[in-house]
Amino acid sequence: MVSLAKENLLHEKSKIALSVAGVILAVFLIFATTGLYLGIDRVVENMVLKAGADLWVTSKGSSGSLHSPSLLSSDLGESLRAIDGVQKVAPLIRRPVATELNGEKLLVSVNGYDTESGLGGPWKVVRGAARPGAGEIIVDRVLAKKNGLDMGEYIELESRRFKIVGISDETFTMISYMAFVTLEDARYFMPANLTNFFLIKVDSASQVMDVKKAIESAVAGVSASVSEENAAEAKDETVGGFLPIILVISAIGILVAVLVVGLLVHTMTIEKSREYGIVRAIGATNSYLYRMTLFQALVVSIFGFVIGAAISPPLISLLRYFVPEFVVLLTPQMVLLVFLLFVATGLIASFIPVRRLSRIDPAIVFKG
Amino acid sequence: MTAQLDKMDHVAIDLQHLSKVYGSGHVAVKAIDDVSLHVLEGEIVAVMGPSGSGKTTLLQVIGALLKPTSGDVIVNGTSISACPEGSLCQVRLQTFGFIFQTPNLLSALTAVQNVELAMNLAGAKGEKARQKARQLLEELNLEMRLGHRPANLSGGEQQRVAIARALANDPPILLADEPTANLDSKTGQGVMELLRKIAKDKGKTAVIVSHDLRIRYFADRVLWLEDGRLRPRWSEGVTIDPVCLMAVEKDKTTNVIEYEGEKFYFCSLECRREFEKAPSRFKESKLRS
Repeated sequence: MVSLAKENLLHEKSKIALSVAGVILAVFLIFATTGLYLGIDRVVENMVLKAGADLWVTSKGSSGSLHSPSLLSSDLGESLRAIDGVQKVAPLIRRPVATELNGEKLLVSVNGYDTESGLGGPWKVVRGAARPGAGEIIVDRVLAKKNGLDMGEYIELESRRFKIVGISDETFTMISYMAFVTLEDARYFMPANLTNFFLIKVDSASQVMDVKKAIESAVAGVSASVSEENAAEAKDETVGGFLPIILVISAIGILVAVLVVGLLVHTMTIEKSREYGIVRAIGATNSYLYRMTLFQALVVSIFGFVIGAAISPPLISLLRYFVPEFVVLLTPQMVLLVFLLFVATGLIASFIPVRRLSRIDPAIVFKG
Repeated sequence: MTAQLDKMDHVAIDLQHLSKVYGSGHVAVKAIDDVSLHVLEGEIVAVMGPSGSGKTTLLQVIGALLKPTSGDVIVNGTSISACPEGSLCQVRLQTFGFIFQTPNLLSALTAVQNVELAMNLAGAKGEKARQKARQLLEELNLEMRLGHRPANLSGGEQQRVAIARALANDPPILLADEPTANLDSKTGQGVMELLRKIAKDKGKTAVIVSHDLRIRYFADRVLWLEDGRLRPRWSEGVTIDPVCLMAVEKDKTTNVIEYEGEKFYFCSLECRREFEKAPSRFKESKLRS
């Protein structure tokens, strides 16, 4: 069977190539922006969940573990250890330190953690030591790459020099770079006998809520939050703010794709009005022409999506090489969602020339 | 919805008091005015007349591409004037084969695909349809051009592909609108000979409208249409261009010259210039009388 839709597309190769390129660009734009959102979302989530704690103890009224101020006496550790069901208690100092590297001001979130228990330490060390020793630091990959820092070199934070012994990944939050030092070294950045959080590991997962209640009733002036709640709160604080922006950029990407595909099928409809009139004159129905236009729009959308989806990961990796902050996460669910969006794009775009198609007069063929 | 005619099964096309008016009120234009006509099965009828006489409108109405304002079009005993729009596509596919002034081939399709598409629209698919399309084109001596797109075919070849497309669904009636208008005289004659041969060999009824008087040699019957009405012959207001032998309305052309005391009217400036180069060659054209 002759597919007029297919032959028309093949006959207009350069025009189709340009339209497909437009769709590819839109696909990449959407993958890049939503991937960036998911990437940061994942990092923030990991900062809480991968700390290894079941519960986070903070100052009463302080919510979240990232930006809300929480100051606790280090002495509270003993009281927390005494509560039934508590297996491990580890203080965590998390302190933003402003510094200047290569003439650029930046914010390093110094995490002083208990290296014995490992609670609150780096969760993905890509190079070097898994834990820092005295006077040593594990820095974020993006920070190291941007500033040309490498293992064995020194970084100065508030006049204190640390030797870089490890590089960690997924520890850049768009706002700050995370760095990990021993608890003792972190005390340099905090008033004496204070910590920001206590991380609690309970005996068994079923005891989490009971231990939470026990902490809040036994220790005055503290709140205990489950890691998952804490992670959700941290994500809300960090990435929730720019979610609308991501959605707007993605919507623009979709709109661009709809316009590109719509313009293509509309232009083809105008240019081929006479030919469509011929097809109508020899006996085709309007629905034949509608289906043909739909097919053309879907082919361009889906073809553009497939190429866009195939080239986005390597292109993003390339971009990440030049722009280390470009932390992008592509998930199968997101790829499926974008695919469905582009199928919808094809459907919507095919409606653009429908009015024109319905007005094509088969008698046009009698005009020489 | 349909009206069956009795005792008229030999009549392929029966036009009954057909009129077509464009616009309304004081801007109304009567393109066809009370035309009644019988075309017999297997008959080739040429409808001639000057530009604007209503020939193409008549063909569009017969071919179910336009609804008449009044009157009835009965094709093979079935009235198509009252058919709903949705069923007219099927009527066009099954009943008529159209040949246009320009071949009107689809530029993205090869010769064989252009013919095959018409079959596909009528429900014939697969290798069988493709084979038949090939066969039709081979019958029209286009076996070396099956895979060529229209841009790579000559005007005559394109028109032959258009004829093959018109025959694709084996329609009983062929409707041709100025089939030679865009062809040189030799190619045009070849196309007309072919059209007549096919119509006669395959027993097709054909209605050919044209203002080219040479077409009349290929028709069984010639009708003259002027101002939307059928007339026994052209009126005083119409004459024949001595160069191209097209019918010309005297008061509608500006290409007029006087030669040896006689006025000559031309359809175009090109014809007039051609005449001026060698007037004696055209002056005695037999068709002018």
